[in-house]
Amino acid sequence: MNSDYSCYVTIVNNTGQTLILESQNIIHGSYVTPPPKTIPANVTITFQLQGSNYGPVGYGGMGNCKYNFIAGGDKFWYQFAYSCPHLTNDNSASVVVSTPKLPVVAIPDPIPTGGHPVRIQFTLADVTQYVPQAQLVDENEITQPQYS
Amino acid sequence: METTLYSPFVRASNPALARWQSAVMSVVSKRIQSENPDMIPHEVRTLALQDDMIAGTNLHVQRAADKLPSPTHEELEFVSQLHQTGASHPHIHYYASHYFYRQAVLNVVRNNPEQAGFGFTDLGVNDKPSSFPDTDSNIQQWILAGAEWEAYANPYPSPYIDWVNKVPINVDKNTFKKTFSVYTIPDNAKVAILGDFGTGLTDGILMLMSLLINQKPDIIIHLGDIYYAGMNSEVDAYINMFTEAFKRTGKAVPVFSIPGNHEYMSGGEPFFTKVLKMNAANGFPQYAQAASYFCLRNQSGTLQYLAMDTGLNSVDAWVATQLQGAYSPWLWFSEADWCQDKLETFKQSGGKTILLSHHQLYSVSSEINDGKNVVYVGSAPKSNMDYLNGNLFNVFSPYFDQVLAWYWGHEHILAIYRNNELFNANNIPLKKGRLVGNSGYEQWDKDGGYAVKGDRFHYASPIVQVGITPVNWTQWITVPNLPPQKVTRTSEFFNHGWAVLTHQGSNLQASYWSFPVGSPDITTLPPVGNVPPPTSLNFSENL
Repeated sequence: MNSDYSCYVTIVNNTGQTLILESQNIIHGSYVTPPPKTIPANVTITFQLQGSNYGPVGYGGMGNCKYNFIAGGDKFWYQFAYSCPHLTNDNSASVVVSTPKLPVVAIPDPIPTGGHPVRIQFTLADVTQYVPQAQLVDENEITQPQYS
Repeated sequence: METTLYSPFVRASNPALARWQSAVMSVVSKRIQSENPDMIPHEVRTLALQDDMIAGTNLHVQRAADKLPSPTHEELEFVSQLHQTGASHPHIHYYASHYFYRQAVLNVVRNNPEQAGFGFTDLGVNDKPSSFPDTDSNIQQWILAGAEWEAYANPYPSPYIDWVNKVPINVDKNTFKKTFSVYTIPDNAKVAILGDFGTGLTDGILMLMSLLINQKPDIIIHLGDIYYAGMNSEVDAYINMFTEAFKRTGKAVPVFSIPGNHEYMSGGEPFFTKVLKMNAANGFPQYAQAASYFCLRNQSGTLQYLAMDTGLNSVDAWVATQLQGAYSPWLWFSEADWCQDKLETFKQSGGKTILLSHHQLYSVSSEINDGKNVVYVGSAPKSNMDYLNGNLFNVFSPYFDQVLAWYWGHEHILAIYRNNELFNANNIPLKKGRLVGNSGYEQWDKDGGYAVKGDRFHYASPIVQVGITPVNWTQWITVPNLPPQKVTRTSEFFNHGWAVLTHQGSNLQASYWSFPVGSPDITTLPPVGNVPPPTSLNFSENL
């Protein structure tokens, strides 16, 4: 019997950057596997947010988390939201990025409003071409005084 | 009250009802087999299509699919009167199907209260007609069907084979991915493509024999759907269609299969434990299928057939209402990665790819994404998505320049779509989208066929259509104030068919063939020498 009202969220980090967990919120449920504090470059992680309880009055898992990286003195971020409600509401998932220069592909997209659990994978594309290289690789130099 | 006429072939998109069809077919087949011990199972299944229990079940399933109301008390009394005459009649069986299905559901829910929240919500059980004694032999058959359905009620857990879980210790994951479920085929292999073939009926064997005798393919690929729910007996019937045709023609070839939605209505276990072993059992151990997705690559590395499993995420076998209506199925994460790896490999070498799936990338008549059933995650264009599978599009569209054609099934006709279809202003066009879904499922011409509903996608012009075959079958008609009568009627069905891909010099040529529908009229197989050739060549093209 499939009674799993969880959200299984997979993040494929192809950005070339290490992502730092900036915040996380649980609206319903609890993490079986929480979002990791960091996601190194070229690493895939999965976490599970499980519903608070089952049965007619239970809630499915619902929450969000935000990851960022710093490059060239600027902060770039991805905010993920996911929801596998029980009974009347619809499943949902979304990703919001700090700039359109951070391409993200979700599978599935679209997701069905019904059916449980919710499984979603976000693949974060390589951002090297979108972020100034010199700033990325020599970040310390930029913060130091330059003399000529 | 006049009997509503339905095709003898009704399919349910609801997994619980599909398993009910499987259960009734099983009971009816056992009865017919016991009465006709010399018949082969396919002849039994074909004969069963004209049984009143099947006709009644079809009425029940079709009415449920059409969301028609449950039988009224007045209708039940009509059935009681019919039953008291001692007659067997589809309406009696319709109500019996309705009643015993609900009884079986109730039994399951009583034992598994959790299931009450999984779609079995409409449980108002009508009174049993007063004239339905449990000692009646017909009713005993329905009780057996109910018991069989209850045995199916908890589907098998998903047996999907994820390549990631097969990586041996000390083997690099990416290296393993490149070779898992990849098979080498001869450069000039002639490949036949079938879709929606798994009916287990006699005319399917006849069609296979004609294909083997007349066109001599080296490999057969089936794009999925084993009806009604891919249960053990149905998968056995599917495999035996090939075995029987191989035996009768003296020619056996490797068969590769991907699952459709129907295989997963039972959870899919019989597909994985039996269908994947077909090739090894038929003398082709080198082609033993490792997964429900595969890549057939020619020796020169210039052409590959890349087949995906879209069935896995198209059905939730646990939920009677499945995924709440129209929804575009998606590839499991690691399978999408596996597919893209094959395309990336060929991108570097300049090889060409034929994509194969059960579900359609797009359709002109079947709504794939009813907007109210889906939530868009990213910024994919929302326009035209009702008839386009955005999930598949996202995975494969970056590679369309190296895709010669994409073959799919699911809808039960042959369709040649307009070439070089663009989906938005920026994507690479898909050269050729082709639907080959008419190999087995008997598509009544009254059920739509080539009707166009959306205005986004188009058939090629001039439109290529398969012909129709008139088939005789017996059915009941009920006219007010007259006794029910059983009559022979002629109905018209779209012809079966297949595609064959043949190397002609440096070209890969695709030809699309028709073969007459025989079920439920033809219940016995003729001698090999009398197997008819394909009725016509519908279309041919260079890919």
